Amino acid sequence: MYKQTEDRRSFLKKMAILSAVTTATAMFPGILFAEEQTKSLPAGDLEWKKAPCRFCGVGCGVKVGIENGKAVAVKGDPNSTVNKGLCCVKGYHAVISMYGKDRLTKPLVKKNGKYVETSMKEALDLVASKLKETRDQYGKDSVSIYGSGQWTIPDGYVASKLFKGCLSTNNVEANARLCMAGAVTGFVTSFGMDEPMGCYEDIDHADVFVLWGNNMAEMHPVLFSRMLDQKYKRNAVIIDFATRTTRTSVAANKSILFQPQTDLAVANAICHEILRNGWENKDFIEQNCNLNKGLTNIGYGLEDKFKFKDKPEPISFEDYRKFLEDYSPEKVEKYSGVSAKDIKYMASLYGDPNKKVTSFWCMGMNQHTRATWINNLVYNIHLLTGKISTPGNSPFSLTGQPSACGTVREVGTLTHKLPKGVVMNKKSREFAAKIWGVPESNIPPKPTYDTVEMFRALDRGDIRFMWIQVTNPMVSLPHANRYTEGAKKEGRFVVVSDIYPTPTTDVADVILPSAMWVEREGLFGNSERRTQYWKKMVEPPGECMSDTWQIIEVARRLGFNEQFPYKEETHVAEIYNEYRQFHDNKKHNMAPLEVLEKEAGMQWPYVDGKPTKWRYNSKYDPACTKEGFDFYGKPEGKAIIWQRPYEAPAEVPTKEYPFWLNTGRVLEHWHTGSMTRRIPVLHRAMPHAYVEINPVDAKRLGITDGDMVLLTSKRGQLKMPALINGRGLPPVGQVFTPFFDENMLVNKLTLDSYDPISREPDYKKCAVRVEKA
Amino acid sequence: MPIKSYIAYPAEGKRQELINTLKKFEECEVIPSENHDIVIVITETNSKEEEKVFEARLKEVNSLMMLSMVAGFDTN
Repeated sequence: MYKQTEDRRSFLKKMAILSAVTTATAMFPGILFAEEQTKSLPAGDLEWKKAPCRFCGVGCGVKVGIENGKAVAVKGDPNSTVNKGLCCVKGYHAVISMYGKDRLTKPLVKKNGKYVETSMKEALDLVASKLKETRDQYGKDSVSIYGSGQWTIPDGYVASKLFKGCLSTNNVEANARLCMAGAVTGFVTSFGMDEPMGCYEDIDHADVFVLWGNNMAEMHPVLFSRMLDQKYKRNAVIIDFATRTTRTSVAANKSILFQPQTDLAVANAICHEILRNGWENKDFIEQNCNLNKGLTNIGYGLEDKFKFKDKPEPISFEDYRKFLEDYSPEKVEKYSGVSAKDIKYMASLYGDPNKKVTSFWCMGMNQHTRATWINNLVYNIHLLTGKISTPGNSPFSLTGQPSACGTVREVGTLTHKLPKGVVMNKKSREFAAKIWGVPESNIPPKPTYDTVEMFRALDRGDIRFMWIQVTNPMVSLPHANRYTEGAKKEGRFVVVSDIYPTPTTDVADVILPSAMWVEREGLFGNSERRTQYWKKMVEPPGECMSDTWQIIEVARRLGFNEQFPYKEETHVAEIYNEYRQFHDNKKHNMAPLEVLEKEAGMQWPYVDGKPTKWRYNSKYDPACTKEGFDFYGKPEGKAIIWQRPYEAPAEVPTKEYPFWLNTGRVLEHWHTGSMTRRIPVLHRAMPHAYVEINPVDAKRLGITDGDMVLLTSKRGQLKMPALINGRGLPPVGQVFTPFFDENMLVNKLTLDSYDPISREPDYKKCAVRVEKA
Repeated sequence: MPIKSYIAYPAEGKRQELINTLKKFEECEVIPSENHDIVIVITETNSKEEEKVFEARLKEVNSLMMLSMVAGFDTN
């Protein structure tokens, strides 16, 4: 869509078209102008090369147009089964985000409070020497690396190998802890293995879609378009179950609003209703499920060094039925705000044996102080009805980042994880050590810090060196003030690898300029277990270097040449082939690079030259060892139905702070906005953050649309303009604000409470006061 | 030389009629949505005066229910 050589008039005309398309996309969820997208691509002899999109976790296949060594255009790849040629406004403009005026192109080192340009060699020397010096002085757990779901697979792999295998610390975390950890622990506790059993093809088969706190129209627009297509073509029904009215609600068949946190109770009430009506699939449950309960009153992780370990205990089906007596629709109606009639309606959709049901969720269920529980409870619904692992019947956790699954969850860049298994397991450590060429004793058997605790440790001084790559924690962490101040403290050394200046580079001692997306070679893994590969297409500017190669350079400076022997021109293939050894089995085999080079991605398990679309069902999954369903992650091949109660959130509105604050994303900007805010058409469409207020509250407080509003929580204050009857409408007593705007940093207000099992923070619920500023 | 983009809403049941009518105007480029009843309209005129006249002509189109401007540029 972008070509600098065009004349001014053509350029302005395209900008006018783009503005209209972008506005229409924001106003009408799922709207398509595919013909226009193709027609308005630049003319000339572009060379088109395939890649996965740089932005969200949907993992759309795109074609990037290259001209004279520059990426000038993006179009949807019609060969990709993910997006079938479609693109959303962010993906369509992705190449523009590579060419922002303030792109970091030279390493910067802070000297006497000012950043000074230096060479990459000198900067990497300094990083390596500071890392070594800190480790020697303060011990192996004083150094850490914090990456991201935007790390490519090779980035995350070498980070884990260096820190866990060579430097003997489990201080490896990634920002997917902030968005996907609850999904991981949900999958692992219910099925014994991470990641969805189904795939996007479920959309083409499902009769009903239930969206659990998931504004797909803005966050996953391409999948939402596919879903709307089924609504129009096959009369598929979409239920939007959420805490506020959004573009998704408007496009859905039915919008059902619930009070924050009570999704736990409603999920149990749906199960209650399924059992009360005898809609459960008794044979399926008998053959494929066990039942457990865990600890209750499990806390909120607000204290430093918080510890929790669940204690699962088996229960009988009758115990479970008795537990659900407290969750009749009539009882739950009283505190959830959802009518008994609506709960029964949702139960009837799940309970109808003739309807295929797919549940989608993302941050609403994962950024939740009971994230693991609510994930378990939605699985319960699918397990009770046997609606799982078959086309159209799918509990489906979506991701927000392009390789939250492929890198953070599969490579295992979390403190407790290894590429296969966990650090606590001796066999997993031995297996990793063998492939990494290090002694098993190098890998410590205990996890150290999850993300929030890692930044608390930096604040306390337990961690002294932190290397942050491809993420912007000073905008994205909850209770951000504490962690920003902590990172600036004397005696801390922070390295940040990024492509643009951000509030996180502002706290860095060394800033390393990174090569972005198609300026380097890489692999991502999306929400449906699809691994996608792309080749380097253009040269990065200045001294920009891929995050993978930055880590390799530092590893070699630290003396680990033997463990990092890769050649620059072939390192991605060498690393991927090494990594594949971890998953060389029918349950997780990854497609060879030669296949990924040709195809628009391939799903794992990749067995006998074929991807597995639906896991745990012998009809589709060669890893099953018994006929029918085999939940092979668990003993006996049986999934777990969990007894999990409703428990209140960590903070609720009070007289002093009477409003719920919910935070989230918008269509135009991706996460903290560091890339999309440099795309002029997207920045113009959404130039700054805002606070959505219900008109009743606004009237009572004397606030009109556009007035500046002061939000105050126990942790901070923030002024931002009011949006009344805008694209989102919170109920009375609630406000919503997006987090993309670093100049209106809402995470100064949010609470760093988290789910004790997954340790994922809850960004959706804290208490604030709202006043006209 | 002004360039403007609009979102046009057709009168009920008159989507195709609106597209056909707009396509006849030389000053107009039309981009219909494939799955919604809205049309993006791009106008290019030679002067502000000409633009005013053309806007008035657009508003007289019977199949057009509403026209919302999104962006405007002047190439001069």
